[in-house]
Amino acid sequence: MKIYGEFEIVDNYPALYIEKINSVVITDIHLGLESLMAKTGLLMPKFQLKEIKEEIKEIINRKNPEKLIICGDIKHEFSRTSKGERKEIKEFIDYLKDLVEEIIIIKGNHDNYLIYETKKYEKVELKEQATLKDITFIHGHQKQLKVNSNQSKYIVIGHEHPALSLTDKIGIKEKVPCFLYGETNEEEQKIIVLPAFSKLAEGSQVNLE
Amino acid sequence: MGKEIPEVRSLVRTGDTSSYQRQKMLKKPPHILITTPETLGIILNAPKFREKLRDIKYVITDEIHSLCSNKRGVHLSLSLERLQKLCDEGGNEYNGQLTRIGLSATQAPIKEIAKYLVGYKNVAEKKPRKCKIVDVAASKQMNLEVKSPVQDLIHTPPKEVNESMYEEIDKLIKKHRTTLIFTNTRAATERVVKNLKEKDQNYYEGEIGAHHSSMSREKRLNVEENLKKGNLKVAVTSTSLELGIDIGYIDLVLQLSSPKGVARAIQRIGRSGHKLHDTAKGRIMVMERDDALECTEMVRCAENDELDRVRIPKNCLDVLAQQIVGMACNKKWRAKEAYITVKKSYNYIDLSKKDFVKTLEYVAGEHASLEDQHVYGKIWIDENEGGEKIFGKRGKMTRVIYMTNIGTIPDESAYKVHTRNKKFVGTLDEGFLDRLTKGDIFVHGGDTYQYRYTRGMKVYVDRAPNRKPTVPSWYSEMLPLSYDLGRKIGKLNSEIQRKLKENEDVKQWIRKKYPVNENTVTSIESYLKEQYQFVGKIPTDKEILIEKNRSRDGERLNLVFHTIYGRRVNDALCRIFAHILSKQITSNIGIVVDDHGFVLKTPIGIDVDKIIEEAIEGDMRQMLKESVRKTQLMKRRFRHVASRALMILRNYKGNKKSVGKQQMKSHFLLAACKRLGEDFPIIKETYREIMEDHMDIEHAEQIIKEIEEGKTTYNVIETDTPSPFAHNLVIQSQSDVMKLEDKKKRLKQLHKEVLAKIEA
Repeated sequence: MKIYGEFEIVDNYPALYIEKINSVVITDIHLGLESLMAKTGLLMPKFQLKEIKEEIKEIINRKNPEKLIICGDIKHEFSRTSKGERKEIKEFIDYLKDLVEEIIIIKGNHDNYLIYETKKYEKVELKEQATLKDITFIHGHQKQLKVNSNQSKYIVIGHEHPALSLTDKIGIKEKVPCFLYGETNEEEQKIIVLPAFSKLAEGSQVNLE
Repeated sequence: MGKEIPEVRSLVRTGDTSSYQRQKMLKKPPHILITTPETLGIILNAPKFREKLRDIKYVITDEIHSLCSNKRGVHLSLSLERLQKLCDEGGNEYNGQLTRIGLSATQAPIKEIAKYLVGYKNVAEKKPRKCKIVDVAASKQMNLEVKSPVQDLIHTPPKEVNESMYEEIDKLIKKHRTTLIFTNTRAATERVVKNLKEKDQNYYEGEIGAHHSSMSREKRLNVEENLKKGNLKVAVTSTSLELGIDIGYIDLVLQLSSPKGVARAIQRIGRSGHKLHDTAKGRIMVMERDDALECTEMVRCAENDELDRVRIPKNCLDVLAQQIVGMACNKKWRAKEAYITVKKSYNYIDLSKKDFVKTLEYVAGEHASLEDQHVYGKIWIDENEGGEKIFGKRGKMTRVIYMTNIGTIPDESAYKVHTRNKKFVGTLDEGFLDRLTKGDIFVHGGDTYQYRYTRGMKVYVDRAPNRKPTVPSWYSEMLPLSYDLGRKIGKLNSEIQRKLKENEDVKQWIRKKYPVNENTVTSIESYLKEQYQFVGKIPTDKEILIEKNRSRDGERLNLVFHTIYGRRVNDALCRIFAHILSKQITSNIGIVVDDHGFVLKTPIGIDVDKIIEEAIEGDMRQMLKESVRKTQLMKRRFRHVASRALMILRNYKGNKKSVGKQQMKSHFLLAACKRLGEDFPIIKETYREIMEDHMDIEHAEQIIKEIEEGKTTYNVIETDTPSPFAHNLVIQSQSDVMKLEDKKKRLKQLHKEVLAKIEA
């Protein structure tokens, strides 16, 4: 399926492929969530990184992009980068750098101190926002979210973790990650919200019923 | 010259006992220590006090029937095996001759409970330890009667039924010295007190007290104290006065509505005339025809000591995990030695080696990567020189974690209800929340609300003034009817059906055989007679009636299954059938479950034979698993299991976690654990608990097997108007008519339609 004719949803994955910039976009990975939980007494086994690596590999194999864009929140802990996180981030980027030519990471609200990890890599760029052709990528946590429409026809954000909640009469409830797209207040400008790539993100329900 | 009686010290030790008192206890141990299963689990791990336990000669378990049927009892059973092991290991002046004594007035099956008490001497041969059973249960005489306040429970206006009932209650109270009234819900307790006070202000003022678990401790103690002193004429309670507390002289117990089980009826009514050889006097007031039928059979069983059997949970891997941690804190174990110790418990005699090892590995943190095991692992596993597997405590935190997170009773706390514009409404308990799906209307504090969603411990609702409730507010507190009693009611139905067929005098027969008042005789007789005349079939213990009833708009089908097996069995059957059906059709299926049957709301044109065929051929446990996999029930039970198995720590590094935090984060954990497969102990145990403890898959399977073997049959009939036995179920499924008055109105209307058809 394609959104606005140019943004292809990579089948069964929370990822977009954009042909004109030959890039794959994903967002909200929240590495290190398990370690953080374990510290508070919720002894959750780690599995995210392994699965995420496998899935990204599959996506890259299918689309063969030049760039990978991550729209923010690679890591989970705000206040610092814990040892466990640092290890996971290193393992993650080490893995990615062999798969694509260039990695652009947009800084999310969880990504404080991430620069200390990314600066070690030539291929990796950490930015507040990035504009490629007429598309601007930002994380989306900033309150004043305004991108001039002369500059960008499209905005792609993460942060929101949109999901559809489906309930049936027998009491079975499921939340399914989803893409959102629509218009911004700027003239002729469209926005796409990506679902989280994290396996553990609780989706924000976007539907009423 | 008499001998001086030596001083006998008896002390109480619970979670509330101060460290000063504990120190004193250690210096001068009591002769008799009164404690709880949880505290026993702790003192078994107290380095110094544990040594004192080696000299124990007797262990007495009081009210054993109420312990053995739940996980507290499972925990106790393992603690007793650990205690036994401690005594066996030496230093005991009685040479490990620990004698276990179990007490209770209502025990069935008594031989199984005895085995639970003593455990196994030899696990290879499954040989239980020796046990002497002293059965004196029949020593107490019962004087019982079922009372319906009016002759016609359908047509008498609810107000009149109520008035007649209070008239009757008032009369009975005034004829006795002290009356204890049991209701089935906490709300009803308050209501009864209020109504009686209104009835005769002068008589009841200062003479009546309520007692239930939501009340403050002081208030409850006050009522208990006054009862003991004989200062109260009436005490009204839900379940809190059922057991234990010494409440002094009671000469009458009144039970309002069905207590849902024979043992419970005996326990409650047995609170009167509490001395040996006293006659216990009880009156059960019924207000619905199903209740009348249920209680009639129940009092017969109570008089004849035909108790319903308790089910003792087996192979609970969460409790096992917790106890393994406790064991490891005391010493290094050979895995085999630990396995045998565990298997000596009745609850674990059939524990497979695979499950034991998996649980051991879980406790050792082997599901996590090697480098993270210091976080996840509470024990280490290694091999000794002889190549035997051994395990022991890992790290300093482990003992603290065990001591501060012990126990099996989950933290259940109230959810806060807010409207979506953030106005606080009140609180709801978890069990009730499980029943709600989005859009349901429920009553809270006299107003109606529509349920929207839950976030953490907050429930968001919208005001829904004047909308009719779709979920009855008493649902979560309702006790399920026991399976055994259900089947006996089925037998009674079958007996009456035979008499109706042969035109015998049913009323006379009931009068002779059952201690019930004339109003009850009339209600039961007319209830069964109408059912018989209307469809020619009364559901019995061996004949299931399946009724295809078209809804009023004619577009949907109420598929009513008359299965009198109690809600635990019906819940399992219903979910399995709905699961089968959901694979055949794409349309939404609605379900309603109660003790006497269940309803599937489906499109028309459903083939019932095919559903049952699939249930016979399929793996029922697997189907039930699939049908609960994504439910709220699964999430909640998972949290309980994970916290018993010390995967969610309520107390960790000085932080106490609220239920809210546990719940909010446990879905992360569930997502993670599901990836470890269905054999991962925490997941396996969650399914087991849902299927075997919360529901009753065993008997559900048995019934399907009986159908396969032809021992139980089923008949499918079609009706335009639901048959009398279906009325209560159908009304619950017609979500637009749930208010009590409306319910009564609709019942009346249905009844009228039935009668018109019978006459035509």
